[in-house]
Amino acid sequence: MSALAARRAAALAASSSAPSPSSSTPLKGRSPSPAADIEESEGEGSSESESEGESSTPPPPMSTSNKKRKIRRSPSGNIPTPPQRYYNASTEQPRITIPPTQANNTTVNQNRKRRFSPAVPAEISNEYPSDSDDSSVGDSDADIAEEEGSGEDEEAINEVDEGRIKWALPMSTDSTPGPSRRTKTKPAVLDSISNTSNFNPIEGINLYKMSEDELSASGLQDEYSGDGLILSLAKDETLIIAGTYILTPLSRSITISSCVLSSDESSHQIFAPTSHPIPIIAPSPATSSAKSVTWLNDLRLPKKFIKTGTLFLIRENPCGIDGLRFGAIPGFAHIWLEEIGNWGLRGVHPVIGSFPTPIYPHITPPTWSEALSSSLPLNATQSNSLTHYESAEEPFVGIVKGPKRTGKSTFARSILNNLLEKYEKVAWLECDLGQGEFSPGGIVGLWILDKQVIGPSFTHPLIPYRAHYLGTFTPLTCPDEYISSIQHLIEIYKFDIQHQHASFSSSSEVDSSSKINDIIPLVINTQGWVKGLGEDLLRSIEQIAEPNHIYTFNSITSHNEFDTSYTRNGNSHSQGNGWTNSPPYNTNHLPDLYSTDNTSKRKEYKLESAPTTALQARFTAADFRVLSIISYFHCSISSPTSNDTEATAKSRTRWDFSKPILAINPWQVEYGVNKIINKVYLIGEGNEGILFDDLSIALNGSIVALVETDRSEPSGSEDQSGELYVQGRIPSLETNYLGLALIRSITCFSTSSTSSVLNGNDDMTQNPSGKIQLLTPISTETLKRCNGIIKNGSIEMPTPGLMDWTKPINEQDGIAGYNWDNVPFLDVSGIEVVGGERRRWRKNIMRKGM
Amino acid sequence: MKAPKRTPWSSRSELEELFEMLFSPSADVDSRRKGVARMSIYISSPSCPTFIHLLHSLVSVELLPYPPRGIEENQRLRMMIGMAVVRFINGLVDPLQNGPYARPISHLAASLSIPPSLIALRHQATHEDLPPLPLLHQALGQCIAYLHHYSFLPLLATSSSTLPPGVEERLRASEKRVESLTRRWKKVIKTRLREKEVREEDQSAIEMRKIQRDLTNEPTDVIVDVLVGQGGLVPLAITKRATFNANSPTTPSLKIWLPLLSYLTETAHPDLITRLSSNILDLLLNPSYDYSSGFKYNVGVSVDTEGQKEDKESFKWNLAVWLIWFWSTSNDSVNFILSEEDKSEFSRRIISVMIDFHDDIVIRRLFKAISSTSGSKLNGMDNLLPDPELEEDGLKGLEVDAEISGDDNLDQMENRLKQFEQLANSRKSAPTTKAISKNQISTLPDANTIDDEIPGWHRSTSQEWNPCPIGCSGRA
Repeated sequence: MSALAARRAAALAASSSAPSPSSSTPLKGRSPSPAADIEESEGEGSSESESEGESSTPPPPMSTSNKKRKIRRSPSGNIPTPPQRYYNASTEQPRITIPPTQANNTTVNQNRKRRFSPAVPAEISNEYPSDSDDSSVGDSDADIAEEEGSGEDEEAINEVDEGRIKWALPMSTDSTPGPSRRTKTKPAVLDSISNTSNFNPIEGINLYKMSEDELSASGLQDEYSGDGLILSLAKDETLIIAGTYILTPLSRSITISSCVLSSDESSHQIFAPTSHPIPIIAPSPATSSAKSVTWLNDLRLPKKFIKTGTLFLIRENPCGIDGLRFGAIPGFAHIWLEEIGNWGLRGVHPVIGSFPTPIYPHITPPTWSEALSSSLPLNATQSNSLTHYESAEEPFVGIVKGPKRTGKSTFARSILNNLLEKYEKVAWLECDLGQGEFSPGGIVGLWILDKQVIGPSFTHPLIPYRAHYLGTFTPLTCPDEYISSIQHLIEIYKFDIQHQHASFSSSSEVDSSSKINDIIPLVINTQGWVKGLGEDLLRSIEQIAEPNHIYTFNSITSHNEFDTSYTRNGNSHSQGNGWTNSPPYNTNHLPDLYSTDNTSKRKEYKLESAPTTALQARFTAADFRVLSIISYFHCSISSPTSNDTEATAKSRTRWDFSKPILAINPWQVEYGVNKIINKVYLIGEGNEGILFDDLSIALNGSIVALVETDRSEPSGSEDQSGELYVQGRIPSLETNYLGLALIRSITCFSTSSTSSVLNGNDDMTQNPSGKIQLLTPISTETLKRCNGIIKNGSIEMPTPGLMDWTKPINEQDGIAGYNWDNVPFLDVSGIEVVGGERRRWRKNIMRKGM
Repeated sequence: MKAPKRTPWSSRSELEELFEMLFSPSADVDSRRKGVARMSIYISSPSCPTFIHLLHSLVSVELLPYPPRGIEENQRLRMMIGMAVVRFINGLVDPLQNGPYARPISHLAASLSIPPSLIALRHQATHEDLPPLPLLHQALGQCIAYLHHYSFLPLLATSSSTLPPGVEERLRASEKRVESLTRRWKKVIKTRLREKEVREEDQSAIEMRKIQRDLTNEPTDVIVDVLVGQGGLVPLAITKRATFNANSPTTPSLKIWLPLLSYLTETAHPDLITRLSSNILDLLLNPSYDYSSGFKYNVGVSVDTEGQKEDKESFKWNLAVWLIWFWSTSNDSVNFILSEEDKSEFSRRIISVMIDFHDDIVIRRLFKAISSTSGSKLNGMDNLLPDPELEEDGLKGLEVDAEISGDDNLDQMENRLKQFEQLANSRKSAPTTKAISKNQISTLPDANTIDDEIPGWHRSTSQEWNPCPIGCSGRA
């Protein structure tokens, strides 16, 4: 118990000496420093146009990465101008202003002490701009899975290190060589910012353990089980919990991850890996909601327990995602921390007092909360009075846009979550191919949510309502398909989803819930590629979607034209250079049902970027892609059956990390004309050139999309729909994406000879068939609908996903009893030849004297 | 160990297939088209090496009809080739631009030994007038040749031995060429032998002469290596080989190979027979030589089965037979003769190893056969053999059989034991894996029960499927 006491003492000290992280004003966010951008994009393939844009972003005179490097390296006390220019001019001054040269050394020391002492509590937390960006780092820009190969680990590490240094720079400009150097050597420890809770747990007072039986005896009934902890938060207390858990608000309402959860008998899965910002649980400032769960009074709580606080229940979340600690994905083994947390619950790690692992909490910048509260009637949740929403004829359609790494996805998720407090269902349109919120990427899709999602994107894969598979992380290679897919989905939304007849609502207890169920609002998340073609695409999306709430992230990269280009009248750009008339679209494709003048009702919000920390730079967008793809294949996604909802289905989603992907028993299915899989589409680079004879070579080992094609389509129509594979055929918009699959082997029954191909298509349509072994997380319910596959080679299984991580790699053994020569797709010879590496484009290289 | 590298091709043989399509001597427009189609699969992969991208665009431009018909087409072709060449150099050089400041492309390109004329051409094609078509077309060929030489060949080189990279890749390349040439030779001459009437000027004769000519350009070592390897002098099928009682190669073998051998000794490789004999002797006298490494397309590296052992012995004996034949045909009309020096040198080597290998059946036979030929220094020495009673003709075949089957019974028993053990293990492991997954907090919603409900879809069970690398089928 003494340890606990010590922790309490520390927590008390911390809370008294420092303002809570949430109440502190974080440094105004800056978008990624230009240097980091450069670093990142150097290795990543994206368009020339983007690179030009990027290179032009830093303010001209001296804010280039090299300048910074030089500055950092200069051993003399030559103090550079501090990087205020990376902050918005309007924000408060960075803490460290130009110190006098003499004071330099002492400052260095102080800084070092403060930075590296693990004992230092929350007081520094101010200094570290905390961050709330998470999955949005999965910018869509064309970094086509660059450094996922473990062969390039070293490089990746270097990159990360480089990144860290730069991220850390604003804090340590005055201590020129010191901490940055250390950063390189001791990455794990130094960032242990004591971002901690100011909640002071005292058993029996504000924390009480309860067994499963006691809970269910009290009246708790839901899809989760297990013992739990009941906590009571006082008004100004906050609590940070890392790991994963089930959160059930019991009385009043709480805020977490910029969203409000009220006590409406529902429980929420919370995912808070240390790789992402950790959500802070705090009582909601909204006073009106005094509601509590009906069975609260039946809970047998100790007499001293503070029942007047905000009460909530924490339970274990047995979804299996913490199985990552077995090492399935290199670099992500420790993001769920140890198995059992301090409170004895599996996967629940309260961050109280000093915390051994560096974490950074989710912070809601002021502009975010303003935008959220002014656009959404947060406090009107319980009231039945008509809000301006219902009175307005137009349902909510919001679009979130901004450059990469600014917190787009995080913010979009907050809107979604907050809307779900008000509406029964909310639609989500994913336009970010780089990292989808509910899929591993490469998809434009429409999801309908009936439950808040709290956690980074890889923790909630879901089957889309309707989606199109483009199979690439960037729209650069397929702008036309990209836009037409989005247009198609928006039409579907407007015709089929937006207005629901109340009686169609799946929820039976329409009256019991006060939520709106005849309107489904829409949240549109866009890609972070905002320059060049990306800008044109964004504008197209906006014109098609006709949003009435526009959330734009500010960043230092935004120039004036950046801002204006998104307004309605910003079309002056479209008469210029090259790309502007493409992709073609028709803005008047729908009858304007709801209003005659959209523009007047359109609301625009300017948002500041999420604050950034050095910790963020531990993982690159490519790392997160590896994470989401591999964890996807370890998952089994449950889909709703006839008598339950998306939410309960989601609670059944499980991850199984007990064995590597190569040891998961595959599905077997036949392909061929009139077989289960009767359509194969190859899209992406080089697709038109792939011969029928090579089909099995093209498919083997690849990641494909399982799709449902329109069965009613008359065969033998002009698009040759009757055939299994036609060179250069593109899936129609009727094709619906269901999920990804890994083709782990393919056997061709028919020996369609070369001659038959050369002779034409006639006889080859008859015989091609074979058997596919594939792995997919989608449920049998969904799998039933699948009758076709789409392959685009740009999304492939990352190298760690091909390996058996349960055994050490060595030269003799190979993999799974196959020696290395017989392991497909992996080469251990180590031969290096000219041009033998993946492509790298030169980017943002400067000329001497510029 | 170095971390494995992801490749877009599934196996080395798939890559070799691509190489054959593009660069083998028999490659033509059709096979190159297929090669381009094959590369289209690879280029969509993010792990595709740069040179495949470059090769893809170069070869597809190269496949366009040349010379062009008409002025428009001429201009188009100039644009296309120009672009391909520019992208070729940029693609190779860009990864080297890793400093903060741009370095001149010409310097970087020179460090990759890209021909200066190409570098100049790139500049011209980018910034100045498009170079004339013939120049561009020639450059296109140069680019392809560059990738062939610096990227593709080294990648195919099997082992990272100590040879300097250039030498090794050249050897490797010529080995491939010689292999394919000898294969074609066998094919052509067999069809020729089968036909009753053959003329001097028909298709097969032209082909034969072409192969002969091509082979004269290859280094002797490589030819010798290929001839003594699998698919060389010794027929692949055991039934076609000389028996242990024969002292010379079979007549078909002689008919197949003598024309080629004599042609080569007459022309470019006068010392071919000497080196061939010497090489055969090396193989026979060196027990550690792993015959399976010569079996290029043979995947089995497992324990020798009865068949393999027999195969090895007969393979060795058939090489020995060729040696005996070379040794003894000195007076024939065929003009390859082992010189007396060579013979005495070889005799010395045989005798020196006899101490250790007196019980090796092949060497004994060889010794006996050679010592019995006239004019051999070993003449009369055969009675020095330690166990003369074993040399009785009647016992010879039996001896081999007995030896092999004795070992083999043991092997078989051991194999069976292993199989049993594996079976037992798999039975044991099946329940344990289940136990593990139950202990895990993450139990999948009992997959097997629901899964089989979908018509046409079937979740493999542990009985019918074993874990295996992605890309393998893993049938139990």
